Amino acid sequence: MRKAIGNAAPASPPPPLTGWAAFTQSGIFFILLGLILLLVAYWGLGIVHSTFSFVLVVLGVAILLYGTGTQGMGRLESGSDKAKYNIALAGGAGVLSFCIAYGIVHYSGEMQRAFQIERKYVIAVVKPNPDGNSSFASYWAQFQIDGVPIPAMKRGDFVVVYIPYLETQKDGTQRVSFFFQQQDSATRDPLLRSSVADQVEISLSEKRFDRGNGGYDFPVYKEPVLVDLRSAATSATVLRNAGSRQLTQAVGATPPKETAPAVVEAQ
Amino acid sequence: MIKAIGASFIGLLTGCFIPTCGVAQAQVQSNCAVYVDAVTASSKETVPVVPEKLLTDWGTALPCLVKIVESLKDQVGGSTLSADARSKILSTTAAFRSIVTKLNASDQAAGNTNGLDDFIKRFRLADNLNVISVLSYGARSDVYDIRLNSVLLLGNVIDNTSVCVPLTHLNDPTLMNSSNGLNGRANLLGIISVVAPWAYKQNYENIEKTRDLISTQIASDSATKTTLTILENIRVRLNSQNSDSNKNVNLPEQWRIACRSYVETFVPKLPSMDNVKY
Repeated sequence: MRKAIGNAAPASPPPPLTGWAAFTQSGIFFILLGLILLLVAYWGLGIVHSTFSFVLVVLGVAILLYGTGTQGMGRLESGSDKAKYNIALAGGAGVLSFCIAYGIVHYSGEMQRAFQIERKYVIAVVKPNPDGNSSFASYWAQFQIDGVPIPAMKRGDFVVVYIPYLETQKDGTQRVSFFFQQQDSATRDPLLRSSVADQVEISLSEKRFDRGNGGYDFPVYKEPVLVDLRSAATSATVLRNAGSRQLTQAVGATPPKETAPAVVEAQ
Repeated sequence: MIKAIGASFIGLLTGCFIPTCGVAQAQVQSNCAVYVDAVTASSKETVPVVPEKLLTDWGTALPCLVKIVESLKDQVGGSTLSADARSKILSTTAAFRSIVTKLNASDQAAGNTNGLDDFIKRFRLADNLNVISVLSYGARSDVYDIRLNSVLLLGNVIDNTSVCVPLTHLNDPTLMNSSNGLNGRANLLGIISVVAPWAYKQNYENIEKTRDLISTQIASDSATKTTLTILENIRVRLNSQNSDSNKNVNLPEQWRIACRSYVETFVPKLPSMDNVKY
């Protein structure tokens, strides 16, 4: 038995691959596959989730580098009496992989921003002007950016608005249009306007964000947006009428001559 | 029994010595608690809005809101208002502004002035010189909304019984110390201008003297065009009185005593009483 084993013929090397099989093991194939994955990642930007794009890019780069020579990194050849290890270090590709790995770790923040093309949100709190009259109680509100409605919700007597932005817009501004409308015009307070439309510039600078209140993903805009709902015209009418008001005449006295109304204005 | 004693105690505090009157006062105090709560802010940054339902019956709201304004008399007058006083005065005067605007709108729709006339009549019954004083401080406040609300209210309710208060403020030597001194002075001048054609003797003379004093001051400071316009308006309105109009009728003694007391106790002390002689 021992002899039989000892006299066994050494295993012959496998025949070389040809055709498609040979191509699928060639460096060119892996380079092309890596490029296809990179193209798919590029095509998917803005459509699929950024995490998926990121994975495709890393996978594409890795396979591409594999095709440039890294496939020879390790090959096991077994013989009848000994095992031969033929380890080929892929010099250039390995260094490149190392550099990429280092870059991923070192520039993780920048890479995150580069790939985060999905919408992020900053929460702006819209409050009635603290004047003792303005109140959102009888109003509904709508918020828009470039004519596109953005999410908002009423919370007590203020409105929370989710302002979308892209990471590439950081340090810019977002112009938000708002529109408040009285719910029931029949019973509305004449001091308050039936509708109020205006715009507000929201700075997207990190300094204006409060990430401690609302979480990292949904920072709160530090300065609340105040909306004055009062009508200046109705107050002006009341002041004008006050200027023409007649006071009590003393018994036996004659009324004054017709005169100019008093200038009653708030400065 | 305890309620009755409490009511009598409140009556004593408020100068109402008739037992039934004490009960009525206690009732008012009790009814007003909801208004006090309504104008009390939960935080420094907020200014409460008195709910619409509390202002619908403005006849009930009015005496309570007047009392709240009066309760602020010791908190106004300093160089700066405390956050609590600022919030309360803004909230209370805003509630008055809401009532006045509504009445004005319904009067306009009806083509008369009955609603606002009724409000002014009831306000004058409920107020006193302390209330007018708080509002006069409001008219010279650093906060524009307080100035606007105060002027809107004072412009309507000011009369011969109370014009001595804004006149005293116009003679206050510290009036122009504030960054809003010019605005405050213009506002107070506009308010006394309402009374000018109807001013009784003492008020007429005091308005005239105060107007002259400020005209002199304006020559030496950077007066605005508006102030000059109002001063001229006061002159024209004073001159609209005929020789036998109100300017020849003495103020009733009771009104003069109240005004004299106010002028004498005004802080800071006026350098001269000549322009507010009662």
